[in-house]
Amino acid sequence: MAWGSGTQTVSPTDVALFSPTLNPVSCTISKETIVTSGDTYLCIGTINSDIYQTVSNIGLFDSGLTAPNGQLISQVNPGDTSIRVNLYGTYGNSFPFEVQVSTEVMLVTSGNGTDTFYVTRGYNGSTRSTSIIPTYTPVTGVAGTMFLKSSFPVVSLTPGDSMQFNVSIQFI
Amino acid sequence: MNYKPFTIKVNATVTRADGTQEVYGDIDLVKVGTEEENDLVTNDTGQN
Repeated sequence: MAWGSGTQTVSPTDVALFSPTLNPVSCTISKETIVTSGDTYLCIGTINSDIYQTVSNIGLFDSGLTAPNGQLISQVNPGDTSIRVNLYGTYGNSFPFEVQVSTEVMLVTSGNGTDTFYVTRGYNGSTRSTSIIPTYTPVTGVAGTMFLKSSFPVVSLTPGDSMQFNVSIQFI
Repeated sequence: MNYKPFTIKVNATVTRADGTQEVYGDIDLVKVGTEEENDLVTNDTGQN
């Protein structure tokens, strides 16, 4: 389980969290009974916060890897087919790969080796942004498959706090 | 595609550094394949 602080609303087209923070944690998985025997998958994960932070979305992944997460170093205009990012080297060079930029998914098809990715906009069924995506917007890569994502109102955590999430899938 | 209807719920409990707890029930809830499928409930505060 991993979590993020971005306040956008999730979409089925998303491939990563909004502004992921810290590292993923392993969950405790169990099969529970609510109505009929073993009808519910339950995943429990806990954040131990040692900083001031906010949490507004979580995701379940088939990998415990930390997703590459840089930022735009210049704005992206609606017609652009390239994006400039910091932390370029953390994304790897196994083109193509997907990145989440706000609510839009882009397919990175190549790069210039320093700070620019060449992209296919509006990938994975997402909507290509018709407005400027501002500088400093997180550009989040993919770490494994995100098979569930949830967004919710912001919860603020301070050092020493912990937050336990229970994600249940009940088959009816 | 055939599948069993299911409900996904996300609940959370915050334990503050002083030991007090805040329970956030059903902060996200989605029903798929049920009679209430179109009644997707997301982003309700759910704070108890």
